[in-house]
Amino acid sequence: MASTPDCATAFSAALLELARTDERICIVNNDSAETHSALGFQSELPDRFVDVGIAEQNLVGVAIGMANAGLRPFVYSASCFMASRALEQIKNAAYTNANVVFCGFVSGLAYGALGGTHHAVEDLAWMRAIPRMTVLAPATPVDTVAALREALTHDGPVYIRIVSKLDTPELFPADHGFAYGGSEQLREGEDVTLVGTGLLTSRLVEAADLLAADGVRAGVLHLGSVQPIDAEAIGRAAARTGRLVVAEDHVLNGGLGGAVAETVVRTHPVPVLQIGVPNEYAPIGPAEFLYEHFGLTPQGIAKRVREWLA
Amino acid sequence: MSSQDVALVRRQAARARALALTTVSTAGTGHIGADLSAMDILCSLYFSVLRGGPEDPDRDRFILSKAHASAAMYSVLALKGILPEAELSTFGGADSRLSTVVSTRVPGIEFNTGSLGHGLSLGAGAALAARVQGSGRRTFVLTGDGELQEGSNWEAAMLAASRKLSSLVVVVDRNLAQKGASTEDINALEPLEDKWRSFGWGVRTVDGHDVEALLDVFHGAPLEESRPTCVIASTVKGKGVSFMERNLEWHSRRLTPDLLDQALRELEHGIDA
Repeated sequence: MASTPDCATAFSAALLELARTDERICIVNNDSAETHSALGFQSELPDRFVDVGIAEQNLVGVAIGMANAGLRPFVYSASCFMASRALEQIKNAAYTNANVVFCGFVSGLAYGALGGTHHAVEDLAWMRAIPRMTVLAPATPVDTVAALREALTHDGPVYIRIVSKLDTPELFPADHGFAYGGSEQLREGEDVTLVGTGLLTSRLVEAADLLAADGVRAGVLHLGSVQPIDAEAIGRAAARTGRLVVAEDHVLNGGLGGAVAETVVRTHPVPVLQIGVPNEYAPIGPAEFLYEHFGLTPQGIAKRVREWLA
Repeated sequence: MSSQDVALVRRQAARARALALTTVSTAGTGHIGADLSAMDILCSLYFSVLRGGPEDPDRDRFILSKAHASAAMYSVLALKGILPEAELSTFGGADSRLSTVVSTRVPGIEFNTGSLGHGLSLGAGAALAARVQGSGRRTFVLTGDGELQEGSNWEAAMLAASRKLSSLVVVVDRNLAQKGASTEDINALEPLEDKWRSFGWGVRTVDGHDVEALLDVFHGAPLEESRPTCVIASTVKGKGVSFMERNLEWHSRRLTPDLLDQALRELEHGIDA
C-alpha cells in the first residue's frame, strides 16, 4: 500500500480549509504550532489562533471560555501533556458540555526516544472515564479528516487521538464518512476478529493478510469511535468468530482492550487477547523500535495470534 | 454610576444576605462566611455593572471562580428574577438544581467551577472570544484569595497581560482566610498587589464592602490602558452578621434557627433603608 501524508498533516490542512468559511473555528495551542502542522492556520488566521505558551491547564481553560461564546476551539497539543496535565480542566469541560475539540497529537509511542514522559499511552483510559466525552481514534489520513468533520458537528466535548510522525497506509475512499458510535468491518473472517483503533488498525489489516497466508481467516474491525463504542459490531464479531484480539498503542488497563472486554462481558462473552503496552514503561529507542518491542507490528501481531490460536 | 445605584446595591445586598443566610440555614450546608464576604461585590456587579441577561449572546460574562459562594450567587440570581426565589429552599437537596458549588444547571451560571483556580483561565478565554467576535463586552471573574495558590491562575494572568485583555477584570475576594486559617500562615499571598502588577495588570485595592468604591473601579475599568484589571477587594468573612465577622469557624459552620433569627434581625435595617 502506498504511503500518504500523515494523519496530523491531513487534519491540520482540513481544519484550515474549514476555518476559511466557518468563523467559529479557532485553535488554542501550547507553543506547538509547527509540531502539529498549524503554521498555515497561524499565519492565515492569526486572530483565531491563540498560543498560550507552555501552560496546559490554561490551554484548556481558555478553550472552554471561548466555547462559551459560541466559538469552536480546537485544542492543539501533544496528547501526553494535554490529556494528563489538564485532565481536571478537561473533565470540567465535559461537565459543562463545552464544544471543545481536544486534539491529542503525537499519540501512543510516536515520541520514541524522548521516553516515558512523552509517551501517551494512558489517554484512552482517562478520556473514556469521563461522562459525555466522545473519544475518537481515527486510523488513516482520510479517517482523521472524517473524524474532524464529525467532531465539528457534535454537541459536547470530543477527544481525537491523532496519529503523528508515523505513516499509515490509506484504507478509505476520499468520500469516507466517520460513523459516530459506529465501526468499520475492514476484513471478513471466520476464525478470529482483530479489533483495533488509531494507528493499529492498518497494522491489523496487514496482520490479517499475513495470517491468511497461514490459512487463518481473520476479520478486522476498526473502532474509530472508542466512546461511544459500537457494542453491536463487537457482539457480532464475538458471535461469528468466537475469539477477539485487540491491539493498541496504549496500556492494557482501560484502553480499547478494556472497552471491548467490558462490552463482550455484557453481550457475548468470548476470550479476548489484548496486545498493547503492559504495566511497564517502554525502553529507550526510536518509535518503530518500541512498536516492535511491544509486538505492535503486523508481524508481531500475527505471531501472537498464531500462538494464541495454536 | 449614580447615587441611586449605590443605594440600590446596598439594599439588594442586605436582601441577598438575608436570602443566603436563610438558604444555608434551611439546608444545613453551605459556606456562609464566603457568601457574606463576596456579597457586596456580587451585588455591585449584578445591580449596576453587568450588561445583558442570560439569553443575550453579547452579555457581559461573569465567572464565579469561588464557586462555593453559591448561596450568595443563587440569592442574587433570585433577586434578579433569573432563578425562582422559592427554589432556594432546595439548596443542596435531593434532585435540586442548586449544587452547593455553582453549576450550569442553574440559569445565569456560565461554567461549572468549584475546583478552585479554574476561573481566570475561563475568563481569559471569554475575553479572547469577545475580541475574536469584535464585541466590546467585558468579562469579570470573582476569585477567592486562597485559590490564588493554584498555579493555573498565574498561567492565565500571564496570558491576559500578554494579550492586552483590557476587557478582563478579576476581583479578588481578599478575606485573608482559607477554611480555618489565614492565607498568610498557610502559603502567603502577599505582597499580592506587587504580584499582579509584575504580571502586567492594572491593580487597585479597595474596601470590598464599600459599594461606592466598588462601583467606581468596576465602571472605570480598565485601570490602565491595554492592561487587564485586578481589583483586590479587602473583605471580611461573614460580613454583615456580627457574630460571624472575622470568625473563621464560620467558613462552613451550621447556622441554627436561633442564630438565623439573630442574623436576620441585624440585616433588617439595611433592607428597610
